[in-house]
Amino acid sequence: MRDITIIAAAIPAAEVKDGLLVVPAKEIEGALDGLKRLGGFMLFDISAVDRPTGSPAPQPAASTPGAAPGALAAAASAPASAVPGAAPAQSSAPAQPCFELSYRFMDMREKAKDVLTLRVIIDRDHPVVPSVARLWPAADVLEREVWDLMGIEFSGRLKQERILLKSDFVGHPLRKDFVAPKRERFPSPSWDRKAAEGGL
Amino acid sequence: MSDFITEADGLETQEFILNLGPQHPSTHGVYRARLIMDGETVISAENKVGYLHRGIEKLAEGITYAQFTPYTTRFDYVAGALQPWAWCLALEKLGNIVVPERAEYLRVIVGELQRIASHLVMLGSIVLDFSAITPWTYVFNAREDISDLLEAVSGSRLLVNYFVNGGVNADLPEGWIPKVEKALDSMLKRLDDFDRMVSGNEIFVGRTKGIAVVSAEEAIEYGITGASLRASGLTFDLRKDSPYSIYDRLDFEVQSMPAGDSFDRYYVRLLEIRESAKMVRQALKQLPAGDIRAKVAKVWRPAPGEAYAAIEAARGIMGYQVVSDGTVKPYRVHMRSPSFCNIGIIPAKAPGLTLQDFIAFIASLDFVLGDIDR
Repeated sequence: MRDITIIAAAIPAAEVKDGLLVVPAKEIEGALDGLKRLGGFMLFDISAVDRPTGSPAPQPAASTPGAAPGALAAAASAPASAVPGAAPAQSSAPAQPCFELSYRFMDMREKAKDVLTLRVIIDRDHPVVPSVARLWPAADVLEREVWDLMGIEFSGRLKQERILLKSDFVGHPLRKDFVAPKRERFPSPSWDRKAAEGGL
Repeated sequence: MSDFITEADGLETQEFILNLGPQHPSTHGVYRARLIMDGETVISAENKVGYLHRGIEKLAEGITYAQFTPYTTRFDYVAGALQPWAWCLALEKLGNIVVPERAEYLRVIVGELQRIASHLVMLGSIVLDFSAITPWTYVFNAREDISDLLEAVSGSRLLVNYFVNGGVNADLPEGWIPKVEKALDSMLKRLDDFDRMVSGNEIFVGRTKGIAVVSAEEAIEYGITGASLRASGLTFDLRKDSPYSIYDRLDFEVQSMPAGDSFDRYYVRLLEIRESAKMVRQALKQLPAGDIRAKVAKVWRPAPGEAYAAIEAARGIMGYQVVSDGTVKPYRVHMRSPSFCNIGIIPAKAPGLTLQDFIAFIASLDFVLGDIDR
């Protein structure tokens, strides 16, 4: 892979944090355009993480040598963001409810491959980002999946419909505040009758 | 019947919608293509998936790391043994676990055997879609031996739960290695028979050569990975380009084909089987003695953080993002499955194909519905 600092220099408003390319939400369109213009990147994955209590300080797990058992126990007993000792770098910004959206790329120009992750933190109340399906057609199905399961909207798409769940499904199940219904409604008269009688 | 139409001149044709699947043998699972047809020709195609969606990413948030490992075999059920590898790699990155050398070799041996079995199914099924039944029996005969071998090491034939966080589940049973040599010999002989029987067959070649050509640029744009990408003239293979496990110690070539049509997508898998057989033999020769599993706590709590790992699975890049909040259960698990991205090319390439060619095209992409729907 091309050196990540060189890539970051070519992309507006991008910075390197723990091996990730981090871009502010406002600049995401320009950043992805810039990455496309650099050329040779294959978009192969888009994923999102729901953080209703805010994003914890970035901690590269791969390079953290076995944390002290005390810190582990403290982190286990309470959410990581609420424990000051467990997340010391937390203080720089107040924790806002957010989604962490990651675009993952493979550098097809270089023989040695590594995953390039472009990370953007987006507002949980207005989760809208511009679509990249016009730049990488691969994004079409990936964006549909993220919208379907996590409820992040991609603007500028021709159509935004569910891909894995059925079209009349309500809610986005991978959000942390999603409450799964005890039984899924099965569309049939006998089901409705039983439900009305309280038999389900 | 004097008014029976004898000439096509002035005859008006009408487009119609054809739902291919979800219950149709040639879609290899519960895949549905919503086709708009003009006679025998496809005007447009739309993928309809999700019939097998089991919400496994959500399920993972409610169970422990170790409990989730067997679930990972359920996605790409044709290559069950390979699937937990990406998951285990992500966990090992998350917890800084060093896998013993012997376990790495066992993973490569079992993984490559599974890749052979998976590609054999693809070869058989694409020919079966042309109503040729005999070749299917050839490859399934060869796959049977491999299933027996996988059963001997793991206890199951299809959903092979052999990989665990930190190593593998069990050591090789006695007398297993000679059986592998024997199975590979007979498999390669069967494969040569299959190659002679199918690859030059006029009907097969006529319906796959030059059909649904995907250029290298398109393949990259659409995020196609695995053998379907290597059929477009590229030699992108994570085993070579970003070696994980002990792949850098094995001597192998990344197979690729130049044309990017349905035939090349079929033939590159045939070549990969021979290459995988070479790899298994090398790994068996180099197999060291030692532990098969690193020490991992029964109640495993990785430090808060996240890890991403990707492997070259049988159908392309299988990736896992695992986010830990320091508890015994994962905070978030995301999986990138190769089949899900590979089918994105279908709507772009389907227009203009006849229905029969469309069937061959989707068979050549070799997707598995459990891998798409998760």
